Amino acid sequence: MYTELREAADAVLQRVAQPEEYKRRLLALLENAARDNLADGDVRDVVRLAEVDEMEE
Amino acid sequence: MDVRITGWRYRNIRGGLRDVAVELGSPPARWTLVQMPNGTGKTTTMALLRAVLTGEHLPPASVRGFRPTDDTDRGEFELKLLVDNRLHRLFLRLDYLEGIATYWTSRAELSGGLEEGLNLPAELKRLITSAFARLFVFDGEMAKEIRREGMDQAARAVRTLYRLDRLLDVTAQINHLVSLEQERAAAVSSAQTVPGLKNLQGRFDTARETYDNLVREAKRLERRIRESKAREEELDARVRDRISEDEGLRRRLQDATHARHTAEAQIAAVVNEMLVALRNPAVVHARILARLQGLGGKMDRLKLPKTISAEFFHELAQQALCVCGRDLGDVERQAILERAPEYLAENQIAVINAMKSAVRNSDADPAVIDGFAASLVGYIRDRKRLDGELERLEEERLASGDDELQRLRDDLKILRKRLEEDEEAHRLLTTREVNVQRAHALDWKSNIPLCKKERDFCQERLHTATNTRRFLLQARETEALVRRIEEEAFARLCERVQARTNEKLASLVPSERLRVSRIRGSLELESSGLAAKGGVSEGQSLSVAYAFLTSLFEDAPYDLPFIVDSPAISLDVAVRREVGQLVPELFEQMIMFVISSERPGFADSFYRREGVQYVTLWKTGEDTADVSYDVNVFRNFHGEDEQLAGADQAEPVLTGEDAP
Repeated sequence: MYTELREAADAVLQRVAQPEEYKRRLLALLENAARDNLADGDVRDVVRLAEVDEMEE
Repeated sequence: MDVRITGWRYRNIRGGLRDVAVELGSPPARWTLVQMPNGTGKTTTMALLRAVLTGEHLPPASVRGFRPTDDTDRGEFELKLLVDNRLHRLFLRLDYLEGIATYWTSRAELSGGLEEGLNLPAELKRLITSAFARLFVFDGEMAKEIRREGMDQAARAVRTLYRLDRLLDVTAQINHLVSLEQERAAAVSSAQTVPGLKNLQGRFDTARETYDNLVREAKRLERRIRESKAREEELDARVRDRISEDEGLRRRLQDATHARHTAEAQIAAVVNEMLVALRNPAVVHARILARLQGLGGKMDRLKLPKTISAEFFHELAQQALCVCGRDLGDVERQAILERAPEYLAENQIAVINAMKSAVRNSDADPAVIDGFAASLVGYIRDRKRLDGELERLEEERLASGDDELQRLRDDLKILRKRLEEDEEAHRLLTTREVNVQRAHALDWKSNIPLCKKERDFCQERLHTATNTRRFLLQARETEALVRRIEEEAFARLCERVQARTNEKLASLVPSERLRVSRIRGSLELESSGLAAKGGVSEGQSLSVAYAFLTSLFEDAPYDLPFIVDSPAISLDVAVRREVGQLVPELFEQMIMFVISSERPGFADSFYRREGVQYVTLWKTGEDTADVSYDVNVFRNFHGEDEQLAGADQAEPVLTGEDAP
């Protein structure tokens, strides 16, 4: 199952312009979530790594 | 996670199941065929298994549906499970009188005592919902439901079993974090859109620009004031020079200038002494002194602060009578002691006592200030007189026709007016005095401290709004990615399950090219002969369900037992053999409830296998039942209602090498 998740994440993230660190951490987060192993603060830390344009509507 | 069923027990359950236990061994056989004639509780057992595995709420009618006779008050169903080799005994207790079902658990690793509720590992509890239990405690009805349009059993099963639903927990957490961030920011600013943000940025830019301009203006004024003062001194000196050119006036000018300097020094000295003296309020005026002494006397009479001290109430609680004269009982004493800490503590009393002592002992002679005031008035009068004297000297010199002096005086007059205006403008620009700001209607556009406040406030709002907006966008981006990844993973899993399902269908239904074309909410089928036949037969439906379920569970992170009611009843003999060959290989534990008519083709495909347990459960009377684990009993058993139809199909008793 984790193979499908990893492959799916790779396929989706490949098409996204985001820092490599963000992609790596997001994938680890999702794998942890699938393993019921989500630690407090993990989600916030990953979200904060995303690059966005604040003035884009 | 590995889950195995090792047995179950009925107590007072309909179908003659008064006290019957089915033991599958620990570890159990991989395949168990449980033969129960119609009417002995196969459907009941499936319902009890689902209930005890999910802990679902049973309405009173369902509870009473398990009641064997009207005079039975209580019943119980116990299921023994190995979860990762740890024994869990799950109990469903049925109160037929009240119509209430309760669940209990006994865990071997926790001394085996009974705990209320269904205490399976959290992960397993979350997985086995009522809908999910129907996938592995399976009956023919579910086979149809998997394919029914509008039902999302198939899709839900993929998501739950492969834990994709956990990814949606991440999106829920993201939304929760956004709410927290917005709540936090709402106290400062609600701007989270681009126009809102631009508006804040505009306000901040204006405030910052205004502040910079005001500071520049203040500096310009300070420079001009400095220059004006220097010029004033220079003009003053030149005026004195012009006067000194007259021998007669020079001496008088020197005396007046010296006397004026002396007067200035005396004024400064008296003012300083007065400020020191005024630190004692009693010295200001006789009336203030009298009032301070009066306050000290009043505090003495009221025994303050002693009467509001915590200690006072502790002492009061020891007295027989209260200060109001009433008797003090235990209740009153308790209340006084409980409230005592609300009053002054010893260290606070000491401070107030010091203040009281200072007030009571206030003593000063208000005449001192009067003396200072009289001296000050005298010195100011001297200075004024000397200014007049200096002016007279200038006038006398002017009278002698000094045009240069006249010009200097005019320049000085203009300079002093400008200096005065500049000093006032600077004062208003820089003042922090709230009263002055109010009196002159100053705001952030005309006063530096107010402008700084506005600039800092705008900056903080902008900063908070920007951070909030950034976090909002980051959260949206992440949430969208999680959803896309979940959909992509779901599509890939469905593709794999679909491919494997179709591989199995090719063996199970070789006569027709029946295949799953898509797994969306439900299973969508395609077949060349499907339309002509007006849909799939019950046997094909069951084949599709088996092919799908076995593919679904194949690589799942959970190893669950597969329990099926009448697995072959609607299949023709050829398909039975296929199912009997294919399906058992796909589960680590399979429990099959069969009736004797399912033996040909299906049950007999197991006779040559190793690791099969045969259980036969039948009613021996109206209220009693018996269990046999003998394969020969299994092979030759015919239920009452089936005996007639199956009498001529009796199978030979196995002996020696024929027996499994």
